[in-house]
Amino acid sequence: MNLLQTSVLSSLASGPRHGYGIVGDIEESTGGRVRSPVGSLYRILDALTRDGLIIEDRSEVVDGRNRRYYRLTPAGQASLLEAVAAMESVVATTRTRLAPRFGTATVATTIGGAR
Amino acid sequence: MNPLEKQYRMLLWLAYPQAYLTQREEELVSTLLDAAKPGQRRPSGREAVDLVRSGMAVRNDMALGYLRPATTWAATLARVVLPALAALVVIVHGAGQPWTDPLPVLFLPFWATVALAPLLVPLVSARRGVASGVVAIVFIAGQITGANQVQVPGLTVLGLTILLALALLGPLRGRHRQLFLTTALGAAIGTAAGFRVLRILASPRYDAPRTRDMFATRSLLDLPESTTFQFVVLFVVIACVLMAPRIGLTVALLTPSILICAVTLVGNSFLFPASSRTAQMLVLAWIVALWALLTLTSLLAARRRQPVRRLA
Repeated sequence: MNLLQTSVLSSLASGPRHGYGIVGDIEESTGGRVRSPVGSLYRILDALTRDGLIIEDRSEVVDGRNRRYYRLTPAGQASLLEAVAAMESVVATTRTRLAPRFGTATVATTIGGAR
Repeated sequence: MNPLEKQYRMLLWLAYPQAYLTQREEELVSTLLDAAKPGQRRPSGREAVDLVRSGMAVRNDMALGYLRPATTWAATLARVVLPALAALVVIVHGAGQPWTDPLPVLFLPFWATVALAPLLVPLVSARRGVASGVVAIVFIAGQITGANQVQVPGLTVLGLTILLALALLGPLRGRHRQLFLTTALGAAIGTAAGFRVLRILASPRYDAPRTRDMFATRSLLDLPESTTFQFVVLFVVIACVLMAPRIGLTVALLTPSILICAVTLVGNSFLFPASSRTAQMLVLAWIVALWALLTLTSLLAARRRQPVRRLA
């Protein structure tokens, strides 16, 4: 699972969101480091739906705009947890490897310090 | 509908398949408009590229998803078996005669594939059908011109352009468009092939070498107008690239193809004499390699293909 897919799952972890809700949440929570263009976002939503990781929650029409909400399935929660564990191990290893060069404090705020 | 929305819809319409838009267009447009910056008047370059790329990917998924594994196997096998059979026929047919040029035997499987591919269009995606149809028509046109000095390519290319424009821009959608293309291409190829056979039968100098010529590509190799040959090669390469099942493979095939085409097109005037055998051999060798590669990859892809899956 790549970073963008994980980010999409992660943004749905706090509850159902619609397409733009996901885009906005990813951009905000990563401080603009991860961006999801709309075309790619829907490719990911299609793939995740197909794999049963997310499911359509409900549809709403707001100001003439058609919003479809998605939510995580139990399988989605499980694979998000797994993906995050894998990422965390990469982050931890990278941090220890880069610490001698950049100093522990710098590494800690740069890697995984988006929030 | 404001101009931005109109442009988004236009992009979507160009990039995505109709069946997908029926389900998703409103949702995609809403998200795009929500994500647009205040005062934005047109889609940004990055957005446009992303939409086109995603749309192509969806098209690819759907084209593969439409096929059931058995059908895919049948179509792929047909693409391998039919050319092999055709090659066998020519080898057996030509066994009693001295071959001055071994190349037509090598080239024939490819020729047979492109000529027969339109027959398999209902089994394959419309895009591939169009590509192979284009090749078949141009090939046959090249054959006719090369052997008989009839000025057909101009007319064929014109007719083909109109045909494609009708099919792509006209009101036909989905299966109807595919059916239209299949019928039209079949008719065009049938006419061209019939014309060729008539020519040979009507010729007073009808003898064994000419019979062989009807199947093989001597006329193509010995074309007096090398430009026709170059165009044929160009079409073949484009079609091969269109038929490639993956984007990465497409790029990998396209780069050397363009290089070789450029070298032969330019080289014919500067580097080689117009009738350079080496240049033509190089191009033909590359085409045969392309064909073999595509057959192999589609065979492999067919093994991996999933049964029909519904989109979200």
